[in-house]
Amino acid sequence: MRLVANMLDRARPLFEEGGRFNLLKPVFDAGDALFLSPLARTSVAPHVRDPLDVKRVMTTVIIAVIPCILASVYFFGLRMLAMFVVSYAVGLSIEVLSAIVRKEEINEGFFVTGALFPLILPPALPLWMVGVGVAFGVIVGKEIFGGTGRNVFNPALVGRVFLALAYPRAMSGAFVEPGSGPLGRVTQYAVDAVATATPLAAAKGGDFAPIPNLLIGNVTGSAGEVSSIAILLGGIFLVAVGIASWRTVFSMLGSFAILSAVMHGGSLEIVGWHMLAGGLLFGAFFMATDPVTSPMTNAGKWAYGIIIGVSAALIRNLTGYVEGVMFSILLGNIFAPVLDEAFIAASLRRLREQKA
Amino acid sequence: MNKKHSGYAILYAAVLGLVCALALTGVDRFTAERKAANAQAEEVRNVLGVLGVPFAAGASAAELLEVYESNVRDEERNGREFFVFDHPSAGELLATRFEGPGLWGPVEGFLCLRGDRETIYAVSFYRQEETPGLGGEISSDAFQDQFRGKKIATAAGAGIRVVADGADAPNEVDAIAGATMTSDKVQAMLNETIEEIVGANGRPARRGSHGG
Amino acid sequence: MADKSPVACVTCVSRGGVCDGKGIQTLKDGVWASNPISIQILGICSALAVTNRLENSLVMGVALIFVCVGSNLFVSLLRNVTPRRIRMIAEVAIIATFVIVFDQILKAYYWEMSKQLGPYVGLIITNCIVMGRAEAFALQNRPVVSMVDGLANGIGYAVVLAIIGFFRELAGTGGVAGFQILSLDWYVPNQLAVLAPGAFVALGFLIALFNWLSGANKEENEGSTP
Repeated sequence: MRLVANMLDRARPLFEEGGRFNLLKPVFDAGDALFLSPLARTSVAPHVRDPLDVKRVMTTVIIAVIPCILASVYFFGLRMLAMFVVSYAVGLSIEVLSAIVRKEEINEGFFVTGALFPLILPPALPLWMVGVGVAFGVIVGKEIFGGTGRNVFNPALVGRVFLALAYPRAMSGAFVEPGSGPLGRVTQYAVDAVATATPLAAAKGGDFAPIPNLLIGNVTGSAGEVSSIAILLGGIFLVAVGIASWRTVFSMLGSFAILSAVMHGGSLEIVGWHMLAGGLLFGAFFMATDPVTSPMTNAGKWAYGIIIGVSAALIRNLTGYVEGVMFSILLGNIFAPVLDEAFIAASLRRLREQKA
Repeated sequence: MNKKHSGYAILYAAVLGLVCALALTGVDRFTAERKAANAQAEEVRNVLGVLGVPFAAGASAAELLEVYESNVRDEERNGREFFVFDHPSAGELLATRFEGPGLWGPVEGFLCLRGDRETIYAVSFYRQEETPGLGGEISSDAFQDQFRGKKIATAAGAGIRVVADGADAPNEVDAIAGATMTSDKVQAMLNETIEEIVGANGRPARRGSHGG
Repeated sequence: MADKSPVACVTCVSRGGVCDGKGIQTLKDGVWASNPISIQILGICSALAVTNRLENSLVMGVALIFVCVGSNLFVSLLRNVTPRRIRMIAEVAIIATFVIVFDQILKAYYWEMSKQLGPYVGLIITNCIVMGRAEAFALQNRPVVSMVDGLANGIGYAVVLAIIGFFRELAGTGGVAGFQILSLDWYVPNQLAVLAPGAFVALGFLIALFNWLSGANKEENEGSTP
C-alpha cells in the first residue's frame, strides 16, 4: 500500500492547480480515493459519528444485488456480463466527463446505477441500446440536475423509460426464454434464445405462469426481475441493515396488494401472483428506496410508497400497458420533494401550536 | 360619442363582430367548394385504394372523383353499405367499412372481399392512433398485405385470426410482435364485420346482422 | 437603441425618415433576445404537438407569422378607438378571424397538411404569443412597427419549431422531408422522438443550448439555487 501511496503523492503536483494534467484532476482524485482515504477531512462541526458514508452505502447495495446478478447470468447467459460491462463503461465515461466539465470530484454515485440498469432490461437487448439507454439515463436523469445527490428521478429508470419509448419493438422482442436444466445458461453466451411473451403479457390473455417458477425465476422478464427469491434475499438484507426504508417497501407493496385484491374480487391467489410477477419486487426493494429520489421524512415515505403502489396496480390492470412499476416509481419521484416539504411544514406548524 | 360610454362599447363590438363575420363568411364561400371536394376525395381515395382501382399518384380531388364515379358502384346489400368494383383481373370486389376500439383510440378501415365473399382481397386501416412502432404498424403495407387471399371462414367457423405463434391456416395472419393488445382488438373488429357479412349471406352466424 | 442614425428602415416611413432603430431592435428582440419559445416559454403546447415533422413545423410557423402580423396590425390600427373595457374581447375576435381564415385556406389548398395539423391551427387562437403581442405591443405602438413585432415573434416561433421539427423527424425516421439522411440499414429510428415526450426532451435541450449561447441565467443559477 505504501508503494501506491508514494506513487500517488509523487504524481499529485501534476494534477494540482497549474500542473500539466490539471484538467484530469477528478480522475486522479478518484484513483486516490479508490486506494486510500482522501486527504480532505471535514474540519468544521458538526461531525457525524457514523461509519456510513456514500461509498459504504453504495457497496452495501451492490452486495445486496449480487443474488439478482447471479440469477440473471444463470438464467440468461454470459451475455449479461457484457451488458454490465457496457453499462459501466458508458456510464462511468459520462460521469468522468461531467466531473471534468463541472470541475468537481468524480462521484461514486454511478456504481449502483451501473449494476441496476442491466437488471431492469430485457436480457437479449442489443448492447448498443444498453449503452444509449444508460447514457440518456445518466445525462438527462442525473447530470443535468447537478449530478449525484441532486437528481429528481432514478437515473436507471429514466434510461429504461427512454429505451421503452424509443425502441418499443426491440425492447418487447428482447424478452427471451430463460435457460432450463440444472446449469441454466451459465455455459452459453445465449444470443439465439427464443423471444417470448413475459408472464404479465401472457396473463392478459389468461395464461398465468406457475407461482413456483416466478419464485425461482425460470420465466421470461427483465434480467434481474425474474427470480423473486434472489430479490427477497438481497432486498430483505438491504432493509435489515437500514439502507432501504421498510416504510417505503411496506407501503408500496401493501397498497399494491390491497388495491389488486379489490380489483380482482379478493382472489388471494391472483394478488400473490401479481406481487411476484414483473418488476414489482425489484422496484420496491431496489428502485423506490433510492435515498436520493425518495422522501426523507417518515410520513413522506409512507405516502410515497402508497402513490407508487396504487398507480402500479392501476396501470397494470386498467391500461394497455402490462407493467406499470417503472412509470409508477418515476411518478413517485416527482412527488418525493413535495411530500417532504408538505410533511415538514405540517410538523413545524404542530410544534409552533404546541409552543403557543 | 364618449369612449367610456357603454353604448359606444356595444356599438364598437357590434361593428367589429359584423366585420369579422363578413370576412369569415367571405372566406368560407370562397373555399367551400374546394373543401368539400377535398373531404370527398379523401374518402374516395381510401375506397379506391382498398379496391385496387388504379389512379394517378398526384391526382386532384376532381380527378379522383371522376375515377371513382366511372368505376365504383355504391350498393346496399342486406342493410350494409358496399363499394363494388369489377376488377379487370380479380373479378367483382366488394369493400365495406369497419370500425372498432383500438388500444388507445378508434380504429377504422375497409375490408374488401372477392366475388366469392369468402376470400379477402385487401384490408386497409385508414384511421388509427395505436402506439407508433408497435400497434401503429397495422397501417403498414407489411401488415395489411398479409390479409390478401386469406379466407374469412373455415370449416371451424367464420372469422380470421391474428396469431402470435406463426400463421399457417388460410384464415390466419401474423400478429405484430409486441403489440398483442392491438392485434387482438383488430381481430375482434374484423370478425364482428365478417360475422355480419357472413350472416347477411344466409350462412349460420353467431350474431344476428344489423337491420338486414 | 437611442442612437439616431439617418439610415432608412421599415418603420421610418411614418416617422419622417429618421430612424430610431426601433424596427430593427423589435425584430432582434422577437427572434432572439426575447424569443417567445426559448426565452419566454410561450406557445409550448403547439410547439410540442406539431413538431414531429419538419414540414408540419414550417406550416405551423407560417400560420403563426400570418396571424401575428395580421392581428398586430389591426389591433394597432384600432388602438385609439377600442374601448378599454372590451379590448381583450376585441383582440380575440381579430385573432380568431385571422386563424380561421388561415385554417380555411389550408383546408382548401393544402388538405393533407390540414389533416396532419389537426386542431392545432385552430388552437392558435389561444396561443399566448399572439395574444401577448397584441396586449403588450400592438396596443401601444404604431401599425407598421406592430407588424414588425408580429413578424419578429412569428419568425422567432417558426425558427424554434423548425429546429425542433428537423431534429425530431431526423431522429424519428432517419430522414427529413422525404430525404433519407441516415440509412435504415444501420440506423434504428428512435420512436421517442416523434412522441410528445420526445418534444419535451428536444425543447429542453434546445432551451439549454440557447441559454448557454446567450450566457443567460448564468449568475442566476450559480447564486440562488441552494
